[in-house]
Amino acid sequence: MKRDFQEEYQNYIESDMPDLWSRIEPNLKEKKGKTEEEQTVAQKAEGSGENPETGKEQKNKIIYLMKRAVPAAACLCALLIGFNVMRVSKNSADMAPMESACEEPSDAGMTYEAELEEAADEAAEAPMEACEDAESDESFDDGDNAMTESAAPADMSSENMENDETPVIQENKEDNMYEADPAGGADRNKAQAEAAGNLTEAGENAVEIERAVLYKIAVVSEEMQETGYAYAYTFRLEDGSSLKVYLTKEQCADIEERGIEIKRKEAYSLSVYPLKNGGNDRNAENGEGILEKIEKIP
Amino acid sequence: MEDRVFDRCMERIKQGDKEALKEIYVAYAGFLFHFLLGILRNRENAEDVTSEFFIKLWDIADKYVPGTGHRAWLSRIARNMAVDFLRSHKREIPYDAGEQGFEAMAASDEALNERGRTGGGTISESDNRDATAEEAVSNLTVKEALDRLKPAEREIVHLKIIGDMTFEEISNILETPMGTVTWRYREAMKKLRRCGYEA
Repeated sequence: MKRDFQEEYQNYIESDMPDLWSRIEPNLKEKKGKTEEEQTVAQKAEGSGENPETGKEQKNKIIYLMKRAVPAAACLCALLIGFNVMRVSKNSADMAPMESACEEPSDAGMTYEAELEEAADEAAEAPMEACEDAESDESFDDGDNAMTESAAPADMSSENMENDETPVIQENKEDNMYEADPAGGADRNKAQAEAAGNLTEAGENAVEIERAVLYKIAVVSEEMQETGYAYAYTFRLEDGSSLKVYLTKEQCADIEERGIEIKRKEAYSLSVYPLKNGGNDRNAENGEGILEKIEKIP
Repeated sequence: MEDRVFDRCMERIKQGDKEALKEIYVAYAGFLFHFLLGILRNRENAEDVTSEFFIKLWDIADKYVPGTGHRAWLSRIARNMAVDFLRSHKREIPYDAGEQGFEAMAASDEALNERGRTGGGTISESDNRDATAEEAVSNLTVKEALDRLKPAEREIVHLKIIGDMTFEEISNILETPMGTVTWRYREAMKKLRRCGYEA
C-alpha cells in the first residue's frame, strides 16, 4: 500500500516544529517609521473602511498642488505687476511731451509774472513818481527827449526786474521807431496797433470799456516782450470778468505825460484791441487785448 | 500564503507591526526550519538560524519588492544564512539522526545485503526475504525516508513539494543548473518510492 509522501511530509513538518516565536519576538527592534499616533490613525481608518493610504495620497496631492500653485501665483502676480509697470511707463512717456508743453508757458509767462508781481507793483508806481518828477523838472518840452526821459521810469521798473537787457533793447527799438515817425500820441498808438496787427483780431475795431478796475500790474514774459510790449495791466470788469491789457513802454510814458495816475484798485475807462487768439497768458480768464486808450474815472 | 497577503504583511512589518511578522512565522516557520535542517543537519543550529532569519526579515522588510515571488525570496535568504552559518563554524555538523532512523536504515541495508548475497535461492525463500525487506523499508517514517536522501536531493524535494516551487525557481535558489535539479529530484522520487511512498 503506497503512502502519500506530500501529505505525510506536511503533517510531519507541522508536528515537528519548535516554538521559536518566544525567541524571536524579544529580539525585534522597535521601528521608528511610524509613531503610535499614526498607527492609531491608520487603525481608525481601517476600522472605518477607509484606506489609510487614501488620506496620505490626498495630503501628498495637496502638497503637490501647493508646490505647483505657489510658483504659478507668483508668476501671475509678476506678470500683472510687470504689465502695469509697462503701461504706466508707456503712459508717462506719452504724457511727457504734453506736460512739457503745458509747463513751458507757465514757466515763461505765469510763473515768471507771479515771481515778479511785487516788483511790477513797484514798477507801476514808479512811472507816476517819475511823472511827477518830470513835471517838476519841466524836462519834457522836447518830445523826443520827453519820450527818452519818460522811458527812464520804465527803466527804473526794469531795474527791479531780473532781466534788464530786454527792456533796453525794446527802448532802442522804440526810439528808432519814434525817430522815424515823430507823430502825436494817437498816431503812435495807431502805429503800435499796426505793429501788433498780427496779434489783433481787427486792429481797427477797438472795444470801448466804460469802467474797469485795475487790480494787477505785471511785467510781461520775455516771449511777449519780443512783440514790443513791456507791461500788462489786468482789469476787473463790471460783469466780474477780467481783461488783460498789454502796454508798451511808450504807452506808459504817454500815460505819465498825460498825467493819468495808474494805481491799483482804481477805476478806468479803456479802449482795447482784443487779441485774435485770446493771448498766451493763462491768467487772462476772459480776454486779452492791446491798450489803445485809457482814462481815469474820477 | 498568497503573494497578496504576504505583501500586505510586509507593508505592515515596515510600519512596525509585529503581528504581521507572526502571521508570516505561522505560515512559513515549519517550511523554513526543515529547509534549514536539511542543510545544517543539526536541530539546534537549525532553530538558531530560523530564529535569526525572522529577526532579519523584520529588519530588511524595506528591501522586499512586492510581486517577485515571496517563497523563493524567503528560501534564498534562509539558504544564504545557512551557508554563512556553516562557513562561520568551519566544521561539518554531524547528522542528527534518530535511533529509529538508524535502526530502520540498518535493517533495510541488511535486508538489501542479504538479498544480494543470496542471489538466487528458492522462490519462496527469496520472496519471503524480499517481503521482509520491503516491509522493513515501507515501515520507514517520513523522517526516515528523508534521511535516506542526499542533502542536495532533500533540499530539492523540500522546495518542490513543501515550497510548491518550480524547477526554475529551485534552480535559482540553489544556484544549480535546472537539469541537475530535475535529475536529482527524479532520483529522490525513486528512493521515496522504494520507501513505499507514492511520489
